[in-house]
Amino acid sequence: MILSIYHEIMKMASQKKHYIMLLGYAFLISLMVFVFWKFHEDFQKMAGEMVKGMPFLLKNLIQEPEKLCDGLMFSRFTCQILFWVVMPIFAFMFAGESIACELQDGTLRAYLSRGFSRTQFVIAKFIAVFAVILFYSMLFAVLTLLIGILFFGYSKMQITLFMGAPGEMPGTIGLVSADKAIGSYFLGTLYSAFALSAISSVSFMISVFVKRMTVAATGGLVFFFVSFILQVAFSQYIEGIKPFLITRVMDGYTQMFTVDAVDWDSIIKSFAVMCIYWSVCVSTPVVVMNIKEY
Amino acid sequence: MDGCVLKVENVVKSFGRFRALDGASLSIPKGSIFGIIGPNGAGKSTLLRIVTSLAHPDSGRVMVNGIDVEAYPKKALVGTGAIVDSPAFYPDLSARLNLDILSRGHGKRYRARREELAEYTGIAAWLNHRVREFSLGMKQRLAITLALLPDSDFVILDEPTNGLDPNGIVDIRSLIRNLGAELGTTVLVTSHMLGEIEKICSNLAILNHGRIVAQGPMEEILRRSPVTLIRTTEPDRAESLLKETFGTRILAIARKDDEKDVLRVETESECASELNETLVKNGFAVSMLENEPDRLERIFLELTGKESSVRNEVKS
Repeated sequence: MILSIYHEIMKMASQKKHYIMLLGYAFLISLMVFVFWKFHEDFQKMAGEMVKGMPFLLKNLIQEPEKLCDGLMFSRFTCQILFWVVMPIFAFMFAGESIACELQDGTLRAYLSRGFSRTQFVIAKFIAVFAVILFYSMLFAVLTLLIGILFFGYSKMQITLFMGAPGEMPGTIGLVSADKAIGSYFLGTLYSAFALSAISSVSFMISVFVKRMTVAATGGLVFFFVSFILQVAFSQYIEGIKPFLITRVMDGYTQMFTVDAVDWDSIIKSFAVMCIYWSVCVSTPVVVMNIKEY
Repeated sequence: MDGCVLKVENVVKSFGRFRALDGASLSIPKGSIFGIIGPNGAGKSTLLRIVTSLAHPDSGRVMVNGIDVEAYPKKALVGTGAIVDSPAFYPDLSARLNLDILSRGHGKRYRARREELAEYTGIAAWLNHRVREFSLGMKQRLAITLALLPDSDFVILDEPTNGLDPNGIVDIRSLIRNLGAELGTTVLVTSHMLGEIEKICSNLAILNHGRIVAQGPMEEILRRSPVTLIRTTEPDRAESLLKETFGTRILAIARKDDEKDVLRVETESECASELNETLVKNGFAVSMLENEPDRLERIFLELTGKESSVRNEVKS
């Protein structure tokens, strides 16, 4: 199995779409640096206003409120866009092409003609997809943090701004230490990598049925957006299925940034939903691959 | 297993109402270079897919080295390397990594064999190059190397000379021949190029409409109703004499269409020397006596029927 996973990672590492991914990231980060630079003063004012509204004891901890708008806040802000917009697209692409592309190129037939285990093939592929997502999530998180600190400095106290899912502000604006904010930032990244692997498993499942990776990737994206629309626009009508929506799973990211303590209970629930996605979307390809003729 | 590497027994496979294989049976002796020919849609690819466990038969049994492929695919195919359809590789990976991934080979012994086989097939200098840079001929060589790895003693090659230039065809042909002669590998080859099959293979099966219509050693198949071409001064008299002398041993005798002084004699068995002796003894001047070329093509057309050959021409 380890050999299969290694081979799958090597296959993924050889793909040209890594360049696109790195270019996409470079474009996003440049844009974010520009925006943050351009509106830096506005952000500082906003941070100052928020501090004014804080209880006296907390307010006392901040000597220079404008310094709250620092590199750590920049990295949190950037990663929200990264994990909610850019990474899902790449995750769907990687997962979508994993089996479909091999089917299209004929390499799947060359591999399976040796009688190798098809179950092992599917599982190794999925683990490789997860490994690539995890690698890029961590890489981008570290790079973003470094770029943020380099351009916008570093403050010892962090305001809980951009510590939730997009459009979701924390219940109370508070302060946390920079150490805790960085710890939560990486925990959040790790969580996002798991959540991305769960959402990309939809594309992975589709890829076993179709010959074109674009179909599989698009299928996953459509599923993601439908889930997003349901969650945002029809929230009151879907109370029963809301916890199982794929976009809801992504929200677990927010739990990493709670001021007092990480809400493990909620995170475990989110992982349970992820497990449902993983089991359905990986076991289906295993069954299909073992039945299907090539 | 009677010295057979592959045994196919009454395999039936249908796709909807179309029966691709209709009780096909064949045996491939160990160490032979076995060719399968057949018109388009005869069931060659389906047969190869079933042998390599890519498809499942509706009924019948396929045994590789005495092990049922359907029941134990991994065990049965452990010593089998197959290239079904055109050779497919990961274009952005090196040839070496492609071999490692697709054969799942590893370890010191495997690496030594990989290098040895790459040397043998003539791609050793290209192992570090990306497959994207390879010509079709190089890909075929790489495919043959892959089929031999990690320890294959039975190799299946589907149309190995397809799309190659004449030099490439000669190279691959000699490579396949040497596999049997030097490495003792059993090779199963399918091709549309009858001349190639005739030159490469020691054994042959002809597949038509999902059935094996002929199989056996190449020489034996080519001996079926051999045709002798005889150029003589008095073809009419010679024709009467041969008919009278050989009687029912001659299946057909006629003037050749494009050369009227040449007699085309189809006999039930090889008897060119007897024909020559009879004519010379009776005072005929025989200026040419030879076996008709493209024997395999004629046998193929006879066995598969003119209808299918015409259909193929239309398709191609």
